[in-house]
This record gives sequence, C-alpha cells and structure tokens, in this order.
Amino acid sequence: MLSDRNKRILYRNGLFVLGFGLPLALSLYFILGVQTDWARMSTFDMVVKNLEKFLPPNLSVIPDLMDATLDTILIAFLATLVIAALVPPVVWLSSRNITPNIVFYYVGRGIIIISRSVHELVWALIFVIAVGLGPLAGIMALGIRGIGFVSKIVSEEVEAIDVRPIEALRATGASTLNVIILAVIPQIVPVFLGTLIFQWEIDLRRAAVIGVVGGGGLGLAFHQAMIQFKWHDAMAIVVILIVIVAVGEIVSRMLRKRII
Amino acid sequence: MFNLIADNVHKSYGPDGSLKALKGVSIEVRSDERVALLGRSGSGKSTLMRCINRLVEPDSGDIVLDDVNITRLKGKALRQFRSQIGMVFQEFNLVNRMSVIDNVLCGCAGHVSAWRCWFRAYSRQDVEKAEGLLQRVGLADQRFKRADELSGGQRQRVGIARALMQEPKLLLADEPTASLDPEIGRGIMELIFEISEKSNIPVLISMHDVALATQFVERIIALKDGNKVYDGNATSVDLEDIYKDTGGSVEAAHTQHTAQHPAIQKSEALA
Repeated sequence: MLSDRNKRILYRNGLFVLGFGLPLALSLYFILGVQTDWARMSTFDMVVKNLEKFLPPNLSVIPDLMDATLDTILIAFLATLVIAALVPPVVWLSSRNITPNIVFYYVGRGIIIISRSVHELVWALIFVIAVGLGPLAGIMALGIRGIGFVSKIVSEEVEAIDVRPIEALRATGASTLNVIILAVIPQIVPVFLGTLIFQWEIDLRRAAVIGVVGGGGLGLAFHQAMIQFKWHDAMAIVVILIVIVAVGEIVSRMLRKRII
Repeated sequence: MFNLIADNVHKSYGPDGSLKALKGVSIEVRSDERVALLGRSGSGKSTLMRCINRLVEPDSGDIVLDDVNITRLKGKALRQFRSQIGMVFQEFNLVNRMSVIDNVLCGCAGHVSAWRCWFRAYSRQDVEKAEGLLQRVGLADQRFKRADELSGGQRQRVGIARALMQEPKLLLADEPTASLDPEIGRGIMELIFEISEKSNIPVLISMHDVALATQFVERIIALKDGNKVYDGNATSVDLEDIYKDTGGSVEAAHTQHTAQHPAIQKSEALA
C-alpha cells in the first residue's frame, strides 16, 4: 500500500505530467512535427545562410523612413490620448465602490474584457475595414486595445482606495461629484498617469506592428520591404524600432519617476 | 436656542442586523454645551456620532437639529444639513496628496461647484478664510506643504481647520486624540475647546480618557454596549464608576483601527 506521503507525491507528479508534460508533447508533435516544412529547411547551414540575408541592415534607407517613423510615434501618442480620454468613464463604471449600479458595473467589466481579449492586430483589421488603410485605423485599434489594461489597473486602485478622506468629505456636505473630485481622484492620479505612460511605451511597440495589416507607419514599410524581398531594408526598420522603443523606455522611466 | 436632539436611536450592522451597535440611545446637546461621549471600543460612540450627521443611517429614532427633524432628509437638503456640522476624526482623514491649504478648503466643498473643486479655483473669500483658520491653528507657515509631510498633531490641526471652514453649528470630534501621544493630544484638546469657547460652537467629543474629559467638558454621557449608562455633570461624576462601566482605557483606543470599524465601512458608499 502507498503511504499518504507517497500518494501525495504521486498525485502531484501526475498533475505535473498531465498539466504540463502532455500539452508540451502534443504541441511539439503537431507544431514542429506535422506543420513544419523540414525539407525546405534542409541543413542547419542553410538556415544560417537564410538568416544572413538580413545582414547587414541597409542603413542608407533610414532617411527615407523618417516619415514612417514619425507616423509610428504619432500613432502611439494619439492612441494613448484616446486611452486617456476613455479610461475615466470606464473606471467609473467598473469600480465596485463608485459604480452607479450593478448593471453599469458589468458593462464596464465587459468593456475591459473585450478590449483586452482581442489582439491589436485583430482590432487593426477591423478598423482598417471600418475607416480604411492608414494611421487612423491604427490609432483606433491601439486606443481600443489599451483601454482595458489601463482601466483594469486604475479601477483596482479605486477599489483599494483610502476611505477615510471620503468620509471626511461627505461629512462636509459635499455632493458625490465633489467627493470624487476631492477625495477619490487625488488618490488615483499617480497610478493613472504612471499606467498611461507605461501604456504609451507599449503602444510604441504595437504601433510598429499594426502597420503590417494596414495601420500605417513603420509596420507598413516593413511589410513592403519584406514582400519585395528587400531583406536589408527590412533589417534597417528593425534597427529604427529598437532605437524608438529604447528611447521610449528611457523617457517613460523618467516621467514615471517624476510622478511617484 | 439651538440644540441637537438624538431620540431613541437604534442601529444594527451585519446582513441580519445581529450586531446591535445602538439600542435606543437618546442624547441632547445645547448650544452652550461641551459634552464628552465616553465608552470603550465597540460601545457605539462612533456609530452615534455618525448617526447624528447621517454618515450612518439610523435604523430608527429621530435626529433633530434646531427644531428641524433631519432624519428623513435626502439629497441636497441632507448635504445642506451636513455642512452645518463639522467633524474631526481619530485618524484625521486628510487627503494626503493635497496641500494643507487645499485640505482646509475641502471644508467648503458643500457649497462650491464641481468645476471650482476640480481646478481648486476657490473664491478669494474662501481662501482668505482658510488662511485665517490655518493661522488660528498655528500652521500658517505650513500651508503649501503636502498633508502627509506633517506630523500627527499638525494633521489633526488641519482637520480642525477643515471642520471650522464649514462654520459649523456643532462640532463632532470622534476620538480626536486617540492617534496622538498624550502631550500632543492635550494640545489638540486645548485647541478644540478654546475655539469652541471663543466662537460659541458646541462640541460633542467621543473619547476614552475620563480624567482628560472632565478637565474640558461640562457634561459626560457614557455608553456601554449600545446603551446610555450615564448622563450628567462632569464634575460630580464618579470616575471609578465610569471606568468600571465603560472599561475605558487609552490603550484600547490604539488597538482599534478606524478603517475597520463597521460605522466607517458602512459610510464607505458615496451616496
């Protein structure tokens, strides 16, 4: 007979195999075994050789890419502004302690879930069809995609708010609106701005990617370079992206430090 | 003449109302009076205080201020009534990220429009009044500091200035010294009662320390388990009896964190 301890160990290892080992084995078999064209890859040397096509990046095209770069930066910036404008009402709906009623609460939570569960590329495709190719579709896609994340973080902050100033403001006879303005908002402003800056940094990356499906900016240029087999040009775009994102991270860090 | 009457106030907490905080308490405060509300943690002091300005809804009973029954006031009328009662809290309840002067100006949030609150664009009169009050509580030079940069005693002074900003007809003080060390606490007591005397504002103050209370108030009301067990002259009160009845001690006050108090959780909702 197995002892209790051994049973527990068996149970745990069984869980581990079922939860992790089995999915891993299945994925390896189907993705790498069935769906990968091993014949095309031929030898390891060929793979290296194929990758070498991208190097070195053709930096001479960078001056011609400045417009697209600027587009990408502006798409990220405007998308973040859209998020900044739309998050406060969503937070108002989706924070348990300030929501007007339970129906509104679920509407707010629903917006957050939908926003977060649909990928930015899918949003971009939807908006490309809605408003046509170009930066506007990109801005809308990133805006809608980002609302959920920022609203979720901020509404969690609202729910964990210090209730004591709220009580004090109510005791002065302030209206609900004034209580929110004076006792709730000052407590969540740092988190709101900090998350928004972080979101802007994320949007920089996403703005580059959604161009591939028609959202404008560097992604579009990358896509064009790839379909024309201009590997070295495509690599130059990757270099620009790395620089933009690195600068974005530095700026974001500086700004967030100032707020907190 | 102004007076406040709380008549037969009942209040229970919990989903089935099983936690009875007030079991029919009646008290009266006249306009020339300073009254201390004594009792140990859980005796119903905080709840009674909050029933008076309707931060907590009494289950039954009446609150009458100036011959007006305010028990069933709603909306604007309720807020208008609340603005006439200043409140000072055990844990100061300041907005930490706001400047000292803006915290004091919160006291006029009852009659200031939302856009003025948003931009902190208070009228010159209000700002001058707030500055005057900061002068009065001895914090004029600290007015542009953030509230969380101040010490406990200074924060409570800001809380007092905020309450005075309302030009209250009555000052409720919910254990205003319980978060402070005894010496600082005494200074706060002196400030509250000096202002009360000079500006003719009646005070209802809840506290634990009977000896300290008798030095400042004319009358003492003691609560125990939601019932009134003493109501009378502060000088003739038998201290031993009050101690025995209420089990009051300063230590008990420190172990109680107000944010967990049912009265405050109850008043958490914004409406």
